[in-house]
Amino acid sequence: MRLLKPKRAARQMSRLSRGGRINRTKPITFTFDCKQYQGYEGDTLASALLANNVHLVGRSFKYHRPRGILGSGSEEPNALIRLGRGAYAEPNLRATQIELFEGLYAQSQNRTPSLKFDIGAVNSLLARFFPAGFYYKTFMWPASMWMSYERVIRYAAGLGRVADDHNDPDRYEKTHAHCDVLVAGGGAAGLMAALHAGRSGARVILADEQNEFGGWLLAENDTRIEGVDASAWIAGMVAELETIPEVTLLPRTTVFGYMDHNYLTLVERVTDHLAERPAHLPRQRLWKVRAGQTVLAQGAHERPLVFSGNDLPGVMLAGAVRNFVNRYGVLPGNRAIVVTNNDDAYRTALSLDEAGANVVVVDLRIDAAGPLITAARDAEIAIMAGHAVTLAHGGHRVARAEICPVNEGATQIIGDAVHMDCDLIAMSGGLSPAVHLHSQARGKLEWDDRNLCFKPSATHEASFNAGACNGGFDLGAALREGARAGAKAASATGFKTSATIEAPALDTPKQSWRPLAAWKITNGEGPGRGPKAFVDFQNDVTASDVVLAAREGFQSVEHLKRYTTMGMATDQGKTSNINALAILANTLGSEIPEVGTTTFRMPYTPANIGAIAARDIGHLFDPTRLTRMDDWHRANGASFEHVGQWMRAWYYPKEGETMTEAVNREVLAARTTAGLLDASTLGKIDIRGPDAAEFLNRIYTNSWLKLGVGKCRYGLMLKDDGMVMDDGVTTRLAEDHFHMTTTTGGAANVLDWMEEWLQTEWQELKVYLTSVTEEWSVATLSGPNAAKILEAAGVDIDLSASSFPFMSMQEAHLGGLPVRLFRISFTGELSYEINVKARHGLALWTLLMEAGAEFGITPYGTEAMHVLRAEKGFIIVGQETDGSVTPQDLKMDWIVSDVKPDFIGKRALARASMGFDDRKQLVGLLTTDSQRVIPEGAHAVIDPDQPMPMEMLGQVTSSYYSPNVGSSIAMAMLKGGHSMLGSTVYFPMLDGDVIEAEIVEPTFFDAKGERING
Amino acid sequence: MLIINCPYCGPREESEFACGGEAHIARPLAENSINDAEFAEYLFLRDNPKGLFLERWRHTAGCRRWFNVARDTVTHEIIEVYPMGALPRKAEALETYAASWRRDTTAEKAAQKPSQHNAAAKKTGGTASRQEGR
Amino acid sequence: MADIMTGDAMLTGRNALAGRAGMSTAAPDGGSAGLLIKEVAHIGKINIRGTKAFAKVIWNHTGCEFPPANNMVSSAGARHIVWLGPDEALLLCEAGMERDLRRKISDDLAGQHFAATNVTDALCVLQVEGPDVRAVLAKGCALDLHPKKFVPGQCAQTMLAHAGVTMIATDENCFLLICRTSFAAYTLDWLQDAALEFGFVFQG
Repeated sequence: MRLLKPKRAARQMSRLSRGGRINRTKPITFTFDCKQYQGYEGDTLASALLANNVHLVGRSFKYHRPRGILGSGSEEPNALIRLGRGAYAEPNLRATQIELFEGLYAQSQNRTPSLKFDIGAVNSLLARFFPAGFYYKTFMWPASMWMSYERVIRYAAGLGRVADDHNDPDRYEKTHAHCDVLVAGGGAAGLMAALHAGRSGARVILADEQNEFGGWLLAENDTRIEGVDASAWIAGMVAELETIPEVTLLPRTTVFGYMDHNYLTLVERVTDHLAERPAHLPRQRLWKVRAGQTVLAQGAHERPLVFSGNDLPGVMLAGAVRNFVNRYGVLPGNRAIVVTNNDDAYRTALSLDEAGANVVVVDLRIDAAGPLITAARDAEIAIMAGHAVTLAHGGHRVARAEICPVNEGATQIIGDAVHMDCDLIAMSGGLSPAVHLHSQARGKLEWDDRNLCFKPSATHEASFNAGACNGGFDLGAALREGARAGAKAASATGFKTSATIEAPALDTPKQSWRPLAAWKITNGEGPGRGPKAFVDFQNDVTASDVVLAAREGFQSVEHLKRYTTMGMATDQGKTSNINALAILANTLGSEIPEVGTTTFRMPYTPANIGAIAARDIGHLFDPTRLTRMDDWHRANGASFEHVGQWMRAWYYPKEGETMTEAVNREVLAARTTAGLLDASTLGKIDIRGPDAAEFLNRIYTNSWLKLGVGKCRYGLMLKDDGMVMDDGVTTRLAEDHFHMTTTTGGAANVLDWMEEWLQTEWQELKVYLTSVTEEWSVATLSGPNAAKILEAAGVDIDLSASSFPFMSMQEAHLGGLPVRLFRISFTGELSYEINVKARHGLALWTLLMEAGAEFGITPYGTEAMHVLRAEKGFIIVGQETDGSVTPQDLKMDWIVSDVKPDFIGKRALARASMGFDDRKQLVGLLTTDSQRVIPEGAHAVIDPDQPMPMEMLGQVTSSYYSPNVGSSIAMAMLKGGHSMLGSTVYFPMLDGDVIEAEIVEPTFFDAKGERING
Repeated sequence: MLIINCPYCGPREESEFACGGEAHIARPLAENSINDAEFAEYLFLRDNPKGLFLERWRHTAGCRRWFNVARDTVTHEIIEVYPMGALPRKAEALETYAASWRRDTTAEKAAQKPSQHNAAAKKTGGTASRQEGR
Repeated sequence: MADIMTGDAMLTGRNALAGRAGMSTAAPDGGSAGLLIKEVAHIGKINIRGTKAFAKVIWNHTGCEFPPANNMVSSAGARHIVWLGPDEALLLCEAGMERDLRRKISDDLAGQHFAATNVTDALCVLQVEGPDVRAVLAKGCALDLHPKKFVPGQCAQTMLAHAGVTMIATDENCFLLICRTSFAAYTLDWLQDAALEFGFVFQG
C-alpha cells in the first residue's frame, strides 16, 4: 500500500505562551489521520491535538456522531485512537493516555471513509429507529437468521480495527511480586500512604497510571502545600520515596484487577512512550502482586451533565479543561461556557479566565455562594445562576449554546432562552469516586447524599480506601486519609509506625462541591423528543434510552445495563453510571440507593492480551520434553510428533521416502529382522514397601500377590467407575519392590492417582512411590534377530528362552553398560526393553545401532509402533479407550480377577448397565478393498442408504495399512460389536463415497502368538 | 486466586494446588451389599453448597500431599486446613461435617462395616481413614 | 551450602544438557551479565521416603539432620538433604557416591517402611547466579523471593513457569534449580529468555 504523504506540520495555535509541565525545548512531530502536527515532550496525544485546535477525533459507536475529547485521563470514553502502523497497530487507545513521542502515528476510528464525512452517520438520521434494545428487538426472529445478522452487526458495530498481521511483534513480560502494602494511585492520598507505609520499613509498591506521580495535583495552579507549589511538594515526596529501598515506584502502571486474597494485577507500560523501544525491554509488563494490605487511592471521575448535544466536540469535562490549561499549557477554547451544578467548576472558570479565554459560568443552582464564586466575581467572570445549558449546537464542534433559566433540578424551563456563541463548554455534574477496585474486591458501597455519589463502605479484602475514591473531595482530607491508611496498612502487616500523623499544611482555596441533584436537563420537549442528551458516550446510550428501558420494564439496574448496554463499553461507564442510575431512579420515582449500582469487574481499563500471555508463546508456551536419545533422532532425520509434552520420533524417512514408505519399511523390518524404538517416555514408577503387592492388587484388576521376583505382568488400571484408565507392565524386583510402567501420556496421572489412594483411603498401607521415568532411558529391540543383536553388542547373560523366559527381567551388562533387560513385547515379536541409566541412553542407542548394523537393524518411530501393536490387536489406552470403556468392552475379561474381594472399579463393573448389549465394544475391521485405509474417527453404519441423520454404530479408533498382513487393518468401538463378527458395516465419507468393511476379531497377525520367542 | 496454607509447605498460590472435591466420602468395598443407586451416591453425587464446604486439596506443585480444607464458597475464606484421615477441629466445620446428608447414606454406612477385606487393614491401624473418609 | 559444587568426582556418560552449546547475551548497560547459568552435572541424588524414625541411620551416613526443618536444607560437608515433604527428601552427595550411599542406607533400614531411590539421572541441577537472579526467577515463580523471605539454606518445590522445580537458595544471589531432565531444555530456554533484559551467560 502506498502511504499518503503527510501534509506539513501545522502551528500549535491553541498552545498558551507559557505554563504547563510540557518541555517547550523538545518539540515532537506526530501524525494524526495522515496530517502532521507538532506537540511537546510531556504532552499526551489529546493535549497535543487540542494544542493544534483539533477537537474532532472520532465517530461514535452506534450513531457515528462526531466526537471530541471529553476527559483527560483513563475515564475518556470518546477519543479512542488506533495507534501505530502495520503489525504494530493497536486500536481503541485513549488519546488522553497516549504519551506523545517523536514519529507517533495515530488514526481516528469508526469512520468510513473519513472523519469529517462518514457514511455511517446516516444512523444518526435514523435514530428514531435505533432505540434502546434495538438489536434485541429487531434481530430476534427468525432465530435461524441470527448468524447472518450477527456478521453484519459485528462489522457495523465494531470499534477499532486490530492489526492486519495478527502476530504481535512486540515483546511482553510478566512477573510475580509481593509486598506488604500496595498503593493504587499516586495522587495526594496515594503519595502520603506510600510514604507513611514506606517509612515504617514495609515493602511498598506504589502504582500510578500516569507518567508522573501527583494525580490531580498536577492540574491545579492554585494549591500550595507546606509552603511550596503542589508540583514542588510532589517532587519532594517522590524524592524521599526513591530513597527508601523497600519502596517500588511504578509510574505508567494501571492496577486493573483485584481478586481474592489480595491478588492484584497491574500492567506497566514500559516502553510505550518511547520513540525507539530497546529490544531487551518488554513493551509492557504484567505484574501479579500478592499484597498484605492495599491502599486504594484512585481518585474520582467527574460526571458530565446530561443535556441535549452534550456529546459535541468542544463539550468537555470541566476538570479536564483545567488539566489541559494548567498541566499542558493548552487553551481548548477562547469563548468558554462553564456549566456546573457545583462549586469546583469555578476553578476551571478562573483558570480559563487567567489563560485569556472569554468565560461565562452557567450555574444550575440559584443560590450559589462561597469563596470560589466570590473569586470568580472578583475576576469579573459573568455568572448566570439558576440557568442551564439546555442545548448545544454545532457541526464538528460546538458553536452555540442555548441557555435557559430552569427550576431547581433543571427539569423545567422557566423563562426565555438566550443563545450564546461559544467554542468550548466545560461541564461538571459532580464527582464519582473511582470505587472500581474496591468493588471488584467485593467491597460494599453506600450512597452519600451530600456529595451525591456512591462511596466505599465495608471492605471485603484487607484494604483501605483513601482520598477522593473514598468519597471525600477535599485535599486536606485526602492527605490525612492517605497518611493514616498507609500507616494502618503497614501496621497491619507488622510494621511499627509513628503514633501521630501530621498532615501537611495547606494553602489552597477551600474546596467545596455542594453539587445539586440535577440529573437530566430538560430541552423543553417530552421524553424521547428533541436532540439527544447522552449518558454513556462510548456506547451511545441517551437519557431517553434509559427512560424507555425503564418504561419497557427493565427496571432492575442489572437489566437496564444489559438492555441499553449502558456502562458496558470499554470505559465501564466511568463517566456515565451514576447519571444513568439517577435517571432510572427518577423515572421509577424511587431513590438512587434503592435502585443500587452494578458491580465493577476487571479490568479497570482494557489490558493488552499480549501482556497477559507475555512470554507464554512459541516454544515457551508449553514445555517440550526430550529424551536423552533425542540428539540421535534429530541427527538422523527423524520426523517428530507430540505425545503429551514429549517430543517423540515419529518415523525416520530415508532420502526421498514418503511417510507411508518409511513407516512400511520400519514395520516390515521389525518383523523380518529387528527394529529399535526409543521407549524412554514410558512412565516408570518405583514402588517399595511391605504392602507393595497388596497395593498393586487393589490398583490393578488382576492378581499380584503371587508374582515371582524377576517376573513381569501386564496390568489394567480402572477408575472407580469401572472404566479403563491406564495399562502397563509391572515387574517384581524384590519381595517388597516393584517397577511399574505406565503409558507415556498417563505417567503423571497414574502416579497422582496411586498417591491419592495411599494418602487418603489406604493410609494403612506401607508403600512408597517414586517417579523414575527420567532415571532410565529405554530402547526397545524387537524382531527375530533381537537376541543376536544383543549378543553382538556384548550381553553377559544367557538369552535362551529357558533361562530368560518371556515376561521376566534380568540385570545384565551390555557392551559394559549395566542394564535391566525386560523380556516383554508390544509387537508380538521376540523383544527386549533395555533400560539403562539415562546418562548412558545415547550410548546404549548407538551401541545397538552399531551392533545391529549387520542384521539390518532399523530404528522405528511411534507410527510403526502403532501399526505393529495393531497387527496384534493390542489396545492403546486413550486411543481405543476414552474413559467410557470397560475391560469387558475390550474383551479383556481375562485380566479381571473374580477372586479378589475388591479392587478399584470392581463394584462398578457389577452395575446392571455394564451388561447392556448396546455398549460399544472393541472389534477388528478388514476392508473389502484391502488397500483402502479407513480414516480414524469414521463412523460405522449398518445401512449406508438410510436417510440422514444416520444411525451410527460407533467409530474407528485405529486404522493403518499393515505391510505384514498385506492389507488395511482397523480397530473400532461398535455398539454390540462382539456379537457382530462376520457382519459387514459401512463408513460413509464426506465426499459421498462409502467404505465397506467386515467385522473380525481384532488380531490380524500371528493370532497364535508363535513369534514371541523369535 | 486463593492463598492456601499447605500444612507442610506453608501458604502458597492456588495455582500450585489441585482441588479434589468434596471431602469425607467413605468408599464402600465391593463385597458390601449395596445396590446400584446406593453405590451411585458414593460414586457420582457431590455437594455444592453455598457457604462452608469441606473439600480435599493436593499440593500438586509442591509436596504432593493431600489434606482437607474448610472453605466458605461465598467469601472464599479458608477457616481451617487439617490432615487427611482427621476431622476438622473448628466447631462450625465439624457441624458441617455432621450435618451432611451423606452421613446417613447406605454407601457411607457400608464403608464403615468391617469386612474380611478391611479386617486385615484394621490390624495395621488404618481405620481412621476408613471411618472418616478420604 | 557454598561448597555444593566442589569435589572432583565426575559422573560417566552424558549430562542432561550435554547437547546444548554455551550461549550469552551482553548486559544492555555494557556491564557484566545479570545471570550466570550452568548445569551442575556431577552430583549424586537420592530420593528418600521415610520419617524421622530413621534420623539416626541417615545421620550416620550423611552427617545431615533428617528430616530437615520444613522448607530447609540440612548440610554436612558435600552432603545435603533437601526437604521435599513431610516424609520425602532429596539427598545430594558427591558424584559417584550415590549407589553405595543408597545401598548402605537401605541395608541399615532393610524391612522398614522406608525407600531410598537413586534419581541421579532423573534430575538436572542448574545453578543460577548473579545480581538479578531473584528478579529473573520472579518472572516465573509465585513464591516470595525477597532476600529476607527466601534465605540461603531455604528450599521449595514449586513451579518455574511451566516446569516443576525444587528451588534452593545457596547464597543471597545464587540458587539451585532442580528439575526433571526432560524439562531441562525448556527450563534453560525459559531462563535465557527471562534474563534478556539483564544479560546472561550459559556455560555449555
